[in-house]
Amino acid sequence: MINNESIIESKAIYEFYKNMQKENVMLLYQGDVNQSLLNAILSITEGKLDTNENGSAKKRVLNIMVECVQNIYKHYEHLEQNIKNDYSSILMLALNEDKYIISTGNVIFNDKVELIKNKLDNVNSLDKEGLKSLYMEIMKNGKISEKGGAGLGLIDIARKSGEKIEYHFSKISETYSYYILVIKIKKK
Amino acid sequence: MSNLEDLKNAATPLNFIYKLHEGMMSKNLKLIYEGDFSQDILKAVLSMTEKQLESIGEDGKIKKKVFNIMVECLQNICKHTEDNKIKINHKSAIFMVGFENEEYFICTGNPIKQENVELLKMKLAEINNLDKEGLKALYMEVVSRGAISDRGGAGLGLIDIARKSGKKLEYSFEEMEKDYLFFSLLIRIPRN
Repeated sequence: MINNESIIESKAIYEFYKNMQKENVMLLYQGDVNQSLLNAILSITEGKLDTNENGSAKKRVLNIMVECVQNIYKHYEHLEQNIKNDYSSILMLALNEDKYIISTGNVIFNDKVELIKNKLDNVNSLDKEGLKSLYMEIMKNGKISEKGGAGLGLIDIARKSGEKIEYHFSKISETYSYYILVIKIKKK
Repeated sequence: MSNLEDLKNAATPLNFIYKLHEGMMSKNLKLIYEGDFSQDILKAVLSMTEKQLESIGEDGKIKKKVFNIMVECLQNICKHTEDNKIKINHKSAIFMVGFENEEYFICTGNPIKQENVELLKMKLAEINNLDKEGLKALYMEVVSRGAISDRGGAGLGLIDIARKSGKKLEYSFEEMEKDYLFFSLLIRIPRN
């Protein structure tokens, strides 16, 4: 991990790299984002999974990555440039023994926190069947929230992951919070 | 909102991500990429940094320097990782860019084969020994000699980086598994 010294030195690069290896990080991007960067990351992911993954897990990982990328971008486009410069987004893919781990981190407006948290808690409280019927219900009612999709993305992620979604919000200013998501996908 | 202290002490991916986020802020890092390098990633990373430099209103000359050094660094990584790919599974390269008040810094790290280390060390030592004029002369010499090593460019890339940065190259080699060392390179570009 990068420690808190203000001056970076060349040896710190390897320390950082070793930490990444320890966590089995396959891919990590941290910084400002745009659509072409996110697309490039998706295609790298696809290539990486290609050689050592069976079809079903690969598809689920890619689908969830796409949802995550869309999530990041959805919040991102409304931010002011200075907050984009100061607070980077994170997209990470790691492989533990039997699970893929996808993590995202990004800035969101404080007034969105409650809504997202409720959606996440709701999704996490449901089992497979419950998620399916919620998904169907929202599709049928055609309720689209102003941020798009009425949480369909999160429901979809939960269904494909088959595990509870971990999350964390931390307030960074009167206006913004930092929002972290961790999604696990069993390799099977 | 959960308690921040609880999160810091827990050994979970959540905690890992949070520390990453914090670490990046404290080091003034603006961009980190770890993974495979493709042409698309290269282009995207470059255009991203260009945009950021523009948005903070950086001087044109400095902007060009940072951009050129980034290109050289990314090409270096691509060159080394291409033939590592088969042998080292999941051992990807790393690339970071940071801004501080006084300087920009660009970091790269990638595994290299033991057999290439000596040559690279010699090149780096030679470059760091030279002043501005010396670097220029060396550059000219290599260009006119036209000697291109099998790793491409006879170190032209590194000479070019040193000339543009105007600072000594900082580097280290760390033992990895059997035939590989991890090569870290840190380049500072003053903002004045």
